[in-house]
Amino acid sequence: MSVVTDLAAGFAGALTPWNLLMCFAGVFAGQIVGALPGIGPSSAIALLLPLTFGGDPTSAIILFAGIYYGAQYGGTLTSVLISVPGEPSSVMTSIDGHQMALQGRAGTALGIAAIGSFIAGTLATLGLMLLAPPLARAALAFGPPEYFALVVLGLTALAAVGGSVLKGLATGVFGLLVSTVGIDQQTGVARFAFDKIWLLDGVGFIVLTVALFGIGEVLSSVGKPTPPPITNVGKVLPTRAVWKRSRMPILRGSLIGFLVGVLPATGATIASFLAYIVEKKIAKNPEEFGKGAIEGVAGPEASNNAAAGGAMVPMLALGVPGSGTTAIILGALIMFGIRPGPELFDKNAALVWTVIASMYIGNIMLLVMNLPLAGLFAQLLRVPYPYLYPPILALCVAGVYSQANSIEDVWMLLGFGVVGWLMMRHDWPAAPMVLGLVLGVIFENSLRQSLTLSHGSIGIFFTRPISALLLVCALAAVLAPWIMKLLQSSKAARA
Amino acid sequence: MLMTRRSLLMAASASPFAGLSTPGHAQGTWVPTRDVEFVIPFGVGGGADLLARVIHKIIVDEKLVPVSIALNNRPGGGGAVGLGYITSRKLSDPHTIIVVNGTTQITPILNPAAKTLTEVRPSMNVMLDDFLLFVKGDAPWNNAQEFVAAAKARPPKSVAFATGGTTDVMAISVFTKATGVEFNMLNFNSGGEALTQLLGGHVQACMGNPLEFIGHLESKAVKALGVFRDTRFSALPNVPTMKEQGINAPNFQMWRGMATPRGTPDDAARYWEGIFQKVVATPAFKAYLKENIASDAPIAGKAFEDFLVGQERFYRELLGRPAS
Amino acid sequence: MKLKATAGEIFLGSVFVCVGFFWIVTAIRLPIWDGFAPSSGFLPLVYGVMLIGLSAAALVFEANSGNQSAELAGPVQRPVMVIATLAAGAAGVDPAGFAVSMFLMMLLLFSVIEKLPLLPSVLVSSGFALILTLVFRTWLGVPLPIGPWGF
Repeated sequence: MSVVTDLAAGFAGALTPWNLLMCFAGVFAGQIVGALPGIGPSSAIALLLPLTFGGDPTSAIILFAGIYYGAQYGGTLTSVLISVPGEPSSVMTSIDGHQMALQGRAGTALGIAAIGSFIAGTLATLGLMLLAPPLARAALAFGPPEYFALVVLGLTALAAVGGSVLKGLATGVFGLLVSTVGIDQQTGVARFAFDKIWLLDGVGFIVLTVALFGIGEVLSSVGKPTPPPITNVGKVLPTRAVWKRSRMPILRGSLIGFLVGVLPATGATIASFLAYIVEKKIAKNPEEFGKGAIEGVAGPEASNNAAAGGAMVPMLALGVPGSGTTAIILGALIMFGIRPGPELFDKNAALVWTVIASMYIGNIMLLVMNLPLAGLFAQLLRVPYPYLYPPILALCVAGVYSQANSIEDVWMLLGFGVVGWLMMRHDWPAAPMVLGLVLGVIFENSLRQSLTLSHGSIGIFFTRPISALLLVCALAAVLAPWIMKLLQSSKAARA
Repeated sequence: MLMTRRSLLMAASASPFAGLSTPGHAQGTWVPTRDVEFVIPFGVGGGADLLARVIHKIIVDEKLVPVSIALNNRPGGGGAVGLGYITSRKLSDPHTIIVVNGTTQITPILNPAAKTLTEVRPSMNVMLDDFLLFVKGDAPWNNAQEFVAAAKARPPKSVAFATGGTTDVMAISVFTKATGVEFNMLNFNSGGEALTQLLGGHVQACMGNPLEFIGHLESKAVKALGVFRDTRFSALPNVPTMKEQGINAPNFQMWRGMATPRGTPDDAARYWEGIFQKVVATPAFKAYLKENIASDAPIAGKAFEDFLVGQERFYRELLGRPAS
Repeated sequence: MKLKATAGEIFLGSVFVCVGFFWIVTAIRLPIWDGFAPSSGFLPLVYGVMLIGLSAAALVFEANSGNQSAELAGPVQRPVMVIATLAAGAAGVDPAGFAVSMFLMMLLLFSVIEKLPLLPSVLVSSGFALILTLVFRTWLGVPLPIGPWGF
């Protein structure tokens, strides 16, 4: 009952003209920075933060939250159309989404991404509203061993993402290896930085993803005879068949994304990887993945949006950051004189419920905005490729430079771009490398933290229930193909 | 109208300081003639970035500088990239200011490849961050002595700390030196992550700045057992100092300040000192300090440089890397 | 044709093996174990060994399977030219400014490599360089480098 009255009050607050404007400004800005590689929601929020000082904190948080989940919608556009992931969390979308675009189904991919994002965003807001306090407390049960087990589960996907198992493992390990560049968090000592200060922070996800996917794709396309411009972009609104194939991936993606998003140390990127793997593992036609499977767009896109909503759970219910971006929003709360803590839901109920209500409204705005935009932007593919790729290269340079305002990152972009081209040429999958880089840092830190905690005993991974359960899942994921084969052969023998 | 009167008041209140540093001229003779670049050697959204953006906003709002100021984040390597940027481009151009902090001083101690603070001319310290010992709200210890006694009763390294950065690690090493107890240390990315681990009960304690913990302190999810200061903290009068509790730990605080390139001429250095004096005297800055539970500590010019020399020695000692 | 494409694959695999080797050599000079837990060098060492093993295995497997996919990869000339132009564009960002350097890079790609008519090439390159500068520099406040002529 109180949820209804609280929410009604929230809507009353969120529907004032000013807050509606803030909500729209937020999702619009988020959409734009999400689509641009290198610039993410964090930069946009930091940029707007000083402008909101002295204003109403509720409006400011509505604006910032809008930027955050709006960016998850925006990242899809560039991923699908030009294979340049606008956000790290849209890497998985670019695999099947871009293939769909090349096949003349860009509109369909963008349409289902927008609808999936809307459903996931709304479900995540519902979850945030109804379950935030108990979920946030449950998330606290994740210590280093639990994160380690979760990452191991994620790593079982290395071989599954690409075509060849051996090549997938090799590029995945390469990604893990790249993750060790820079200052070692546990000892503070620099590794593999070659005395270069710009390597002390390691290799950025954005640099690697834009290089492997964006530059790699361009180089590999210019090597082939120029394809005719794509005139067909497909229907934006899904047909019955498309909807039937997408609805379950959207629901599964929402659930995975929300839960992974709630965990403070993992975010939208890992959520979208997990959603992709799950879809590929349970698909009836896994060989279609990587060649334009709609499930490979619907699942990860739903997942990264749900993760953005999930990350708000620990922020609002516990006052601890659920991701890099929510950490900045928390910083903003402090600037407004609100001290985030476990009592935010009670002490600042009006603010929390108004923000929640604005998230429902913002997701509707994004859906309304994205469906026509999808058709419009898909027309970009009609531009002949020789006119299209030089601006893509310039955009990649601008985006990668902006992520840390560093020209050295542009050189890394070039180097990894060449590697990405060679990999694409010889069918070495790029996604495991990005996955390795994303998971590598948490993998190493959680392993070392866990063993420090247990005084060197690996028992800590098996005696803690959540960790043990996740490791069993990982083992099952590895063994599943063999078990399937065994079952089938025994069935065949019986028949 | 209101704005102008306020800034006039500000100028009046700041002038005694300016007079101290430059007998004769109130402000020195140098004034910026073109756009000023404000370098932030950290990524957007962090503590150093927020401080820089607040200072920037105050300078703009109060019209303290006749030219416009462009913010420029040069993140990477714990401030090393930003300092390197200053060195490589600006050597002596006083149309550049940079925000610096304890981390920019610690990074080169740990990584000799990084540029040190000798590359800039320290202008003014604006605030100090304090370090407190936190445990979970339902922990059995009510003060630092009980905590230390319990840790001593267990085998070494049985009590685990979560840290959110090198400065937290150094605070623990101050504590270890004073108590003789060895702790287990798990290092995380940020104070927020360390706090999450404490709330989840995966570690027994945290050493952190009040900022990240204050909401949890107020709701009693965590409690503070002591602070590394000579006197109690006015914002948290109930938290005793370590010395009060018989733990002979030195004063441990992290500084945050402003600097200009090393080759800045004296009159330009005086100009910037004057500007920062005005900034820290504004109500907006005082409010910022209050929200951040930080200590007001304006230390300008030569005094700031001497302060930094002392801090450098202290940090090197804590990190086990004495100057060679 | 087949030989050339395979050579590219062997080159890529060798790069991976060399990186793995470098990681091993560097890692053994770092502390491997510290008290209870692995130290800085442990996982890099493991990754290096695994990368060498997996890359070599992938190459051997590929050689034996007689996979034809490499043959479809096409000529390398144009991609190499694009890489060179991109490198030149990146090198120009600092001295000549972002806008000018990207304009010249796009113009080179359009008119020299793609042999498109000059007028549309100039229009598209200058237009897009301006749009990027407007969005990133003016709106998003990114300090993209400025050339000696002030833009």
